[in-house]
Amino acid sequence: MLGMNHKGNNLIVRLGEELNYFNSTATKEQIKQQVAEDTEQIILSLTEVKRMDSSGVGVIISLIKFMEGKKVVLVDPQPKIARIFEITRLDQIIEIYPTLDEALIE
Amino acid sequence: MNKKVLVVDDEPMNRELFRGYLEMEGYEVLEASNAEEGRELLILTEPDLILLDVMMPGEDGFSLCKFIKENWQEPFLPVVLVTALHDKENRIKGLSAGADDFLSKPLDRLELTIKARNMLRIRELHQNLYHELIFANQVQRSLFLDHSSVKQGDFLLYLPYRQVSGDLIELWEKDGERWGFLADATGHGPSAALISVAVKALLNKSCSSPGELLEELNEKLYRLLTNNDLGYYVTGICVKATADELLFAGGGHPAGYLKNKNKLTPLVSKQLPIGLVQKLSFEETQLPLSKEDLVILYSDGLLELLSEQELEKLLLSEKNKEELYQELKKLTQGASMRDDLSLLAFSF
Repeated sequence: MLGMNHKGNNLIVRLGEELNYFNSTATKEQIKQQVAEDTEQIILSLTEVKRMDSSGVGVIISLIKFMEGKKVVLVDPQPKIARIFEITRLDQIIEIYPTLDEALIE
Repeated sequence: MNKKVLVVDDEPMNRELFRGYLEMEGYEVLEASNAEEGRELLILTEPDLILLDVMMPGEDGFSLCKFIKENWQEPFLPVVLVTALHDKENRIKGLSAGADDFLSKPLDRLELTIKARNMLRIRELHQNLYHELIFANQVQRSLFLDHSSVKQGDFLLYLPYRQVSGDLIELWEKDGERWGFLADATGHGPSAALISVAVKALLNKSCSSPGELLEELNEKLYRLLTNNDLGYYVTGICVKATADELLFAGGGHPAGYLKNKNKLTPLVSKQLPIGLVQKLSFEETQLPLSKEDLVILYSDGLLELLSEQELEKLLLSEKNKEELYQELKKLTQGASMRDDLSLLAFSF
């Protein structure tokens, strides 16, 4: 993971090159620890992500469950990563934004 | 059986000292005087521990250490580098090469025997786990690959990424119909394998259509997976073939194919993965089918080896069924796998 920061009610997470079987559990736990009481939305910035396997997708599903109705959104996935969400049809339930600014909630 | 320790050191005196101390502890000692010999003995004798001098003429210990760590597959093989006591620079270089520990020169008998014992204990723990996984692989294969419904001309590939697989292939016959089901549980390894065992147990083969089967499976799996935030889900595709029709439905799974001579029809999943939400209705698609047509289902591990476009190109090539199967098998041989891979191809 490259870093995390809070902006208003958003928790912005910049993910690194790979989200996979080997780093998914640690990544998930690190993100959960940063969720504050007033966090209304987790924004996962995928700009740098080059590889993601199903364990990586599982991290996102797990965060959705953890947020209990609050939002988890994705920003700027590379085409190969966007295709994963298209094939799995998860793009039907996860919002994907081209830029961080568009994803932010006030 | 005695544990084998390979000592790689160009100094005969040092090797002699290692041998003396280690044999007193009951270990079998193998000696190599340079990296090249060390490499040969590594492959020939499969030692349990390697003690490696860093400074040797020709290829040095760092390079051999890096080679071992990059190329030696499971189970864990400890490499201890032998360096001067306060040589911080070499220790950092050694850690970067993947070394597991260091021994200081001049050699101290107590330090050597304690470190050897500790490293061998860690290896043993890894070995136990590794053998358990190998056994689990055999169990899973015998549970999953029921060949009673496999006919001549069918093709199955079932390749776990880490001994056990999160994939499940099922092929069965009912009332003159041929059914195929391929599922892929999130992740790899033992946790995914447990989910795939649950999928197998929950699969109701008496359902009358693929959509009904997936709908029921989704509801049952949701109940199992809902009380945690582990993020597990299953993608899957189910097909039912009769003499003149193919009916299919899928959830979050890579598109399978119906191959008819020079035409390829993708079998696209239209629904979310299985087990994520409580109620899902799986839309079915109906396609005409003839005896020569080939139904191909696979898990996304295949897309780690070739892109969807390359797969379509391969399936559309002039190859006959046998040649195609050989080509697919060849693709996986020696490939560096990053995911479980399974494939099922059959005709009516």
